[in-house]
Amino acid sequence: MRRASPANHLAAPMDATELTDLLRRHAGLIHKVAFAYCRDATDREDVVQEIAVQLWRSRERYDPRFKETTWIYRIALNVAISFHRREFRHRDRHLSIDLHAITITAAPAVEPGEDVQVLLRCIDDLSALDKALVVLDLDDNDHASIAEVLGISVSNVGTKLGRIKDKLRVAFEQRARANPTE
Amino acid sequence: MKFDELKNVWAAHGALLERSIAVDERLLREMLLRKVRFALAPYAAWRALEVALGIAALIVVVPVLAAHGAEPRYVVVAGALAVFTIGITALCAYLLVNCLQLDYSGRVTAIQRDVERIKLVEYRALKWALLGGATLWLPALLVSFEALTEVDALARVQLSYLIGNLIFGLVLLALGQAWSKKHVERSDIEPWARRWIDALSGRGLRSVTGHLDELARFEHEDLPQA
Repeated sequence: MRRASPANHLAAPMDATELTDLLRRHAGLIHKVAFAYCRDATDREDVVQEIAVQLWRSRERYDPRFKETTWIYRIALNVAISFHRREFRHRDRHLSIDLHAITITAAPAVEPGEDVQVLLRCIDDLSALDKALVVLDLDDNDHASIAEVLGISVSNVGTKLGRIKDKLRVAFEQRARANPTE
Repeated sequence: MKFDELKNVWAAHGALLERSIAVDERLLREMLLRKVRFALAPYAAWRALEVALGIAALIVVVPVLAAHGAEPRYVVVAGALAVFTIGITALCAYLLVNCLQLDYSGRVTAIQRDVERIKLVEYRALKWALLGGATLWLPALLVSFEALTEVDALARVQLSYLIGNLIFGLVLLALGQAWSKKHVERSDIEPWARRWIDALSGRGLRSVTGHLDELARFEHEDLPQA
């Protein structure tokens, strides 16, 4: 079990205002992770809120010596993968209806463009862990940062990404050709 | 299209999201306070209740067992009950401690492994609880009665009745397993029943071990392709 070490408590934990600022600064990152793992808008909303909750719960363990984005990526990806693994069809939605407070929402008009939709469909075909790798790479993180977030070696990141990128590129071209209006 | 062009597509999508996102501070605070409380309470409360019930059961069973330590029937039946109670209580305590300490800010592969290990223990605990519940409910009832009234109820019940009850429990479990395998894919099942069905049919354990294998493969150093 991973726990916060005492050495990590370097500063006072962030308060709600600081967390709100942090969410405002990185809301795009969080939404992109949610987009990569959930097709359904309600599910995305749930994931984003769950990420906000986990950021709040983990705020005491945040070590300011490390990049903010590393911390956020870890939490966002862990939440999204766990959410992805739950069986949506068996979830009891009744409990969460009143929890759908609109807190960090993209405007309804924001629909991904055609290219993004094709890309998201290609990402859909990847495993939950490969998705994490691709999202981090698409967001222009270097291999060392990706390795730090995922907990694998830098060389492993390189070889895996090389393979996945080829697969993704071919899938993208096939999908774009097969359905140009998508 | 090259991967760098896909990156541009992704970056444009990110920029569009950044521009359109609104954070409502008041609602966010309310949601955080409400949801953190809501999300943590039921799971931790159930596990804590299970631990408390387990300890209470041990307080009932152990003195009866100690008082009849020389009688084979008590050693076998109340002993099995005590071992079962200790095992289940330990599993519940493990779940309680580990679910409260789970830190999502750890490395993805490590946290996902921790999450799956918790699920693994949860499914095992549920499976053992169902097994124990079906086979040991009568001895549990007799021992509890004996602890409360000091009437040696377990000694007075015919052995054939105890054996018959054990067989009945095992048959019930076998039927439950067959039924759960038949209905494991049904979607109109309540979440609590889904957990039971997944545990009984073995689907939950298969899913967890499958994901643990996937994690191990992911962490494994890939050889560069020729």
